[in-house]
Amino acid sequence: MTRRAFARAGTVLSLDGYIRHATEGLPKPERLDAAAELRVHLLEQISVLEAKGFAREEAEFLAVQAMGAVRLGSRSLLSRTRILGWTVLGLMSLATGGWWVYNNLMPPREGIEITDINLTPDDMRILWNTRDAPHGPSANYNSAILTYSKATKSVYYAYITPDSVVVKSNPLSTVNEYDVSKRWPGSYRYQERWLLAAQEGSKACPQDWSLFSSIRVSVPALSSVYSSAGEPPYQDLNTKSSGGPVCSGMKLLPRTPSTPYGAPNVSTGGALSLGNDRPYEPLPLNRWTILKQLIITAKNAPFFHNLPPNYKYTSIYLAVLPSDQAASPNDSGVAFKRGVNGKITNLTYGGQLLPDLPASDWAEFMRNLPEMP
Amino acid sequence: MTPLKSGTLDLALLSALEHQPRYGLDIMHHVNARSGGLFGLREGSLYPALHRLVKAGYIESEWQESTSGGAPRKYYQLTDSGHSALGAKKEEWNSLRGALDSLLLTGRLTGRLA
Repeated sequence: MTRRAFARAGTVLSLDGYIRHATEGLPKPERLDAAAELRVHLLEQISVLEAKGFAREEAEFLAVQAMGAVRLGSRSLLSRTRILGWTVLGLMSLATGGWWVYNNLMPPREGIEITDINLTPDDMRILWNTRDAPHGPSANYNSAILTYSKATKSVYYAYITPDSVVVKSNPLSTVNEYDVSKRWPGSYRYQERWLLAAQEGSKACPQDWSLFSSIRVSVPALSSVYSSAGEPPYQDLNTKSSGGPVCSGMKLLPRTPSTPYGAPNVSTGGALSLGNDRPYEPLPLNRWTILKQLIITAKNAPFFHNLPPNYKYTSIYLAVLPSDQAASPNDSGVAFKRGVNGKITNLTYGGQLLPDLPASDWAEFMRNLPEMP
Repeated sequence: MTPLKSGTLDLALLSALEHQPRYGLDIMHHVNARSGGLFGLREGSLYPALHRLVKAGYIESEWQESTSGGAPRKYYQLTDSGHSALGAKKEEWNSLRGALDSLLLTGRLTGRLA
C-alpha cells in the first residue's frame, strides 16, 4: 500500500500495528530483527517529538505517520519458502477440488469394463472368505465392472442352457446404495462387479452361496437331452469329466469410493467371453448383452477349435438386460417359447415382456446374436 | 522520490556508509542534510533499500549499544563488496554526470549561436 493509499484508507496504525504491518511476510528471524529496528527508530522519533512538547499519543501518531508505508515484507521480499508454501497449498486445493469434481460430478463411463482374469484384492478376499465359492486354478474367473446407464430402473439376468431358462430381476429401487435423488446431479451410475466362474463350488450350487448365487443352473439335465442322441456325458469346460453342476453367479458391488478397479483385457480361451480384445463393451438399455458363454463339448472331444464343422455341441450363456421399466422385487415366473432354431421368444418374467434371447445351441446362437450397437 | 533519485538511492546510501557505520535514523538525517533536503528520504524508502543492500551483500548490520544510553541500535557498514560497488557506482555516476554536462553545455552553446 502506498502512502497515499494508506492515507486515503484512513488507516491510523498504532506503533505495534505499524510494525506488524511493515514486517508481515518476512521469515521469523528476519521479521523480529526488522521489527526491533523499526521499534527503536520509532521510539527515538517519539522521544524527540515528546521533547518538543507533544503528548505521547500524538507523538506516536506523528512518528508512525512520518514513517510512510514501510513494507519490508513486500512481494519482492517475501520468502521463497512462503511463496512455495502457498503454491503447494494452491495446487493441493486444486487437486482436491478436481478429485471432488471427478467423484461427484463426473459419472463413470457407462458400459462394461473388462477386468477379465485380473481379480482385485477385494475379489480375492471375498472368494477366500466364502467357503462354497469355486476355488482352485481351474475356476477360470472372469471379472468385469458393469456400469449401467442413468435411465436403468431394473436389471434382468438370464442364464440360458439348452433345456432351461432362468431369469431373475433386480429392481434398482431396492438397492440401498442406488438412490440418485440423494446424490449430486448426474454423478451416479449403478454398478456391479461380476465374477464369473466355470467351475462348480465345493458344494453343488448351495442355496446359501449368497454372494454368488443370484443365478444358478445345473447342467446334468443336459446329459439326458443329449444321451438320447447317443452322445457321451458332457463336461463343463476344463473341469469335470462327467456331467455335473456348473455354478456361476455374481457379486453385487455398488460403486463406492474405495472400490478398486482392476486392469482390463486379458483374453480367455475356450469360451466366448466379453471383450476378448477390447477393454470396454457397450451395455445398451433394453437389450440383452451376453456376458459369458461356455461351450459344452462331449467328454474326450477335441478342443473346441479343432472340432469338425458338423459336430453337435451346445452352450450355456449368461446375459444381462438393463431396463428402463421398474420391476417388482416379488417378480417371478418365467414364460417363453422356443422359436425357430431354438430362439427364445415371448419371454416374460413377472408378467413383463422381455426381448428375445438367442438359442443356446452354438450354431443358432451365433446366428441369433443380438445386434451390437 | 523521483525515478532519477530512486535510481541513485543505493549510491546515496552506500556513500553515507563509506567512512563510518551508521544506524537507520542517522543515515536518513545524513542523506537529507547532505543533499539539502533534495532526496526527502523517508523511512518508507530507507529500510527496504537497506534490506535490499544487505541481501546483495553490499552492507552488513550489527546491533550495538547506544552511546547516548538509549536502546540498542542496528548499525550498518560497508562490506568489501560494498566498497567495490560504491566505487563502481561512483564511476558510473561521474560518467553520467560528465555526459549530461556535455549535453547540457552543448545545448546552451548551440542555442546561443543560433
